[in-house]
Amino acid sequence: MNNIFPFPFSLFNSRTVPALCCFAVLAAVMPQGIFADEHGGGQTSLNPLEWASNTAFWSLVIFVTVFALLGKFAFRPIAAALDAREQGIADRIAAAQRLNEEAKDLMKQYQDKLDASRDEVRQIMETAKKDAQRVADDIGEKAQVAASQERDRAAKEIESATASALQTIAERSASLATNLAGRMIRAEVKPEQHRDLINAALQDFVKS
Amino acid sequence: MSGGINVADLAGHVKDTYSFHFPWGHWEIPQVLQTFGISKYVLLEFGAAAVMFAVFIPFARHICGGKQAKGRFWNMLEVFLVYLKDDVIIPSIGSAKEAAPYIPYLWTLFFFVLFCNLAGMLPWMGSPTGSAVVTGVLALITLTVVIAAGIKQHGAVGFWKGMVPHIEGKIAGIDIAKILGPFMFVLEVFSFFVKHVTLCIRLMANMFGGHLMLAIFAAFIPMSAWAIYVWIPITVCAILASVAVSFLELFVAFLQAYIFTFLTSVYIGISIHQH
Repeated sequence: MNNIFPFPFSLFNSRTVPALCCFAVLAAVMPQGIFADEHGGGQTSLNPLEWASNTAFWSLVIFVTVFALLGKFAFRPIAAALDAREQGIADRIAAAQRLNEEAKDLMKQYQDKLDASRDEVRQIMETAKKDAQRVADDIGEKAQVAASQERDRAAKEIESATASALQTIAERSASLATNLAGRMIRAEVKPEQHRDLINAALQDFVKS
Repeated sequence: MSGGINVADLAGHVKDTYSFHFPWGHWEIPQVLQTFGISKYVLLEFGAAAVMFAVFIPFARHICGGKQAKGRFWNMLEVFLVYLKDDVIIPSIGSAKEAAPYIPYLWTLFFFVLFCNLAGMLPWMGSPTGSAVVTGVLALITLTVVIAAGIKQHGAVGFWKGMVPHIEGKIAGIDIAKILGPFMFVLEVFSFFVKHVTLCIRLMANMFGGHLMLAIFAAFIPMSAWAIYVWIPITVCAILASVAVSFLELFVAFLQAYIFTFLTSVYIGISIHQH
């Protein structure tokens, strides 16, 4: 029990408390005259300020003993336990606050990353749109060019076919005319025959 | 009128005696104990001390190592202790570090006063704190602790010198502090001791007054027994008034324990942080 309390409580240690108790017993035993008949024999009055040495003495002894023993075995451990718990709670609150701050930082980082990703996606989308537009434009241009070329080619083919057909017609017409003229020269032809010859020639022309 | 207030009978309920008054008779404290000066109040103080040991040592085991108290009673007890420490003692003394050495003393003081006050709420018992002797001893111990706290902080000379507030200024070339200093010192020292006397008187007067009032209400019943038509209403009123005053006394028991502890904390704080 030595030095269990700081001054002035250190006055109550393993030596002084038993000494006080011994003093209490001795004081109670030896001067019996002090305590005798203070309350027992006299007329009881209603004066609350009436002095009583025995009560004063025992009150002092009881309180000091209670304080010394409870201070050692109860109140100091209780104070230490409450302090430890308060410290524990404060530590846990601090840790929670720290974790909260870290979570906020992480949240901010993720938010930044998310924003960056959104920007990136937006840029990619814009680039893709531009690329798509460009490709579409290219395809359109190429299609137009191809169509134009095809049209030109078709026109040329038509023109060529027309020319070829006209040439064939001319050649057939010439041949037919020659053939017809030859037949006309070799035989006298009556008007009805002449007409039949022309029709036959025309039918041959159509068939050919 | 067959009844009448017998001062001795009333005093038996509100004063320290060597016997307990029960409805079935008186129990005289054994002569051996009387020889040692052990009276009713002393026995009740022993009882209060025993209750404190029975309550706080198990509680200390319950919460040792920072464990949480479990159960309504232990939680209630912890609420008292934490409230006193955090909301009464530390703010009154200054800081947690300064208050730490005095917390066990102030806890002891609060619960000792409280249990002594509450002893008066038990039938046929009494409040030791209704005696100026008991409250005087408590005030004396508080005075000792306050002086010791001041001396520890400022030194023996510094503590007494520090009671005089700092005075500046001169009158006709003479320092005012030199003129008023001695008077201020006497006044402050007188005020210092009176504060502790009031500590004693306040607690005693509240507890004594309350129990005396209960005794007087109870005394109305035999006083009015001379006529049945008076006795019945007076008895009913006396019982109702006694119940009401008992509730008030219960509140006062806690309030006065709080005030005693709070003022002690304030006085310790003042002695540590002087003018």
